[in-house]
Amino acid sequence: MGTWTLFRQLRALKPKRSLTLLPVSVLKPLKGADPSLRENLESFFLLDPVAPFELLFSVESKKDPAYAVAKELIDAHSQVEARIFISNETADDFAHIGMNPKLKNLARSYEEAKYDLVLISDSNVRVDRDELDVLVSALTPKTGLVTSIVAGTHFKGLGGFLEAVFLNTFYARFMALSNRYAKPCVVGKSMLFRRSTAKRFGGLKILSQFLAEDFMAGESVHKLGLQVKVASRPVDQIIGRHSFGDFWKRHLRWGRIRKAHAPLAFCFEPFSNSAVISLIGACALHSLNEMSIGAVFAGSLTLWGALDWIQFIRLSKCSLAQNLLFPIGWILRESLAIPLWLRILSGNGVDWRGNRLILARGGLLSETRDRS
Amino acid sequence: MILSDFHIHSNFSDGKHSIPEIIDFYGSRGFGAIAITDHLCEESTFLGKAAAYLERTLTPATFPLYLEILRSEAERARKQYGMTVIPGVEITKNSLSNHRSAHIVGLGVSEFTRADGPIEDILKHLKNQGAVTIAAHPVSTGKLEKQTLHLWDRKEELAPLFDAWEVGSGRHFFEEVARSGLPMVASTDLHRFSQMTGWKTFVHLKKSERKAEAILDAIRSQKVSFHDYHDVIPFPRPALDLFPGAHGVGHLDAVSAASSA
Repeated sequence: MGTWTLFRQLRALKPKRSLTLLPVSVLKPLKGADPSLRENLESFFLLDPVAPFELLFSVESKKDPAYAVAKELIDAHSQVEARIFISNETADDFAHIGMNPKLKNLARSYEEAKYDLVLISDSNVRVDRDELDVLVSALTPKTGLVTSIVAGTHFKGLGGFLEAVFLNTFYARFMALSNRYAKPCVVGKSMLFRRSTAKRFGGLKILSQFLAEDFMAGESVHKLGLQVKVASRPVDQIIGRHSFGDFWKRHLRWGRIRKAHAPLAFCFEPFSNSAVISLIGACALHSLNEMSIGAVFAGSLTLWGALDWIQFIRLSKCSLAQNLLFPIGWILRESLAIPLWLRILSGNGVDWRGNRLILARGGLLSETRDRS
Repeated sequence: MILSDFHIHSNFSDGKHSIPEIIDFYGSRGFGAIAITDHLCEESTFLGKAAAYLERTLTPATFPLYLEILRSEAERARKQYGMTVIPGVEITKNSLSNHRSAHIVGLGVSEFTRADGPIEDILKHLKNQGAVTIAAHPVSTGKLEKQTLHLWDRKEELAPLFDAWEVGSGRHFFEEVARSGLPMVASTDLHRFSQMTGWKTFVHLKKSERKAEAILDAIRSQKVSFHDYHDVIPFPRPALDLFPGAHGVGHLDAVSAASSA
């Protein structure tokens, strides 16, 4: 059902060109320079939307290696309207912004943006030339926010592989299902919204009180009676090289955010695991029809894995060799799901880019200690 | 006189509709003042925790968002409909026993109030914010549903801390409250638009005095009267085109309850 919902959502493979001339300010928060940063950022300079757009980069200081990369690209693409903001230089002007490090970094560029429509796009996102048109075409008068399903691509290392398996199977399916049948699920990698809409719920001042600003943006839009729309094309997250430890820490953080924001849904998460569901189904069928537990369990797992494999091939854009390795990655990820869930359960702390943050109930950031 | 409703729930707790939808609903019916009063449950009890898990209560995390949306929508309501929107809460102390359950409406709140602890402390905290305190549906509705009787059981002791007691809640009229001589107010306790028919309050102020503070003062000084309001339930959308004008028409019965002005 999840795979079907996801593919229905992605059915419009040919992006619709927006017929409305809505200019967009693209906000890019930067911190550190991943190997793929240059290519990722350059893809935004190559955007070719119908309406005008501007690029606004935010870095904490000029010493950040991302600053040099962005500066170089701005100089090389003088035809594109682009600026860089150094957030530390104006931190005092934005004292009302909460502890969320990404939004603290973005506050100035958000304020200085020329257009009402803003796209917040993470540094590890790479886009096609018509990305803005694809996103803008999803806007309707009842739409409060447009987000995208994330496709994990260009992965290296065990952690990167597991990340791609997670994003392109469980997470893509979860997002499609959640947006179709339950609550809006917004991914901070790509969020398009009107600042005038955000002003109605308090804008960055409210969102920055939470680590999961994307979840809260969706929640706030929902409280205003507006819809969250998912764009018809996934956005590429360039995963790059990750170790197993990076994967574990990242998912510990995501899990604790989920636990803080939606504790009830978190309690039921183990039941979204293929092995748990297959075992329950096998036991149920055994008690009803005396079917073999082992055969039903194996059959269910195989079907589940096959559907996930189809999703992985569709979203990951990887080589044949990497595609053939999928079953190993899938078994490993599915095996890690329950131990990871238990680890998430054991605390409320998260590590995020050198900061130790504590999540209170509801996802409020309650405490921070800088480790750097 | 200002037609008002001081007890309305939104999708921040167990209401069905968003705050903007509620404002358009009331604004288009000519109301002069409303208060959105979402549930704020205890954090320490099982029922309160369940409400938080099921997202049926305001929490310290959602309260700032609630106030921000109310602030911006109040501005819109004033410009678009000339209607005053008052930020409120319904402090909800639920127990399995009806006699230990109490709901307190606070109007004009500006800070989060914890629902745990003694009722006297909660009322003082609300009053320190300049809020009006109302005992919500304090007597039995006579129906097989959850009752909140604790405040009425202690009415002599708690009366000085309340600005008003609900004499009408939805379609229920509480004769005991009307006869008690206590200050009163009547509201819908609306969770969905189909519940619109029911008791409402007229605030005896001029249109030019339609400020939140003046309305709260009018409740305190009991410049109010109560009316049974009948709302024509809208037809489903396709039928609307066949019966233009049938949608959302409200009318008031003749004055049918005590006026304590």
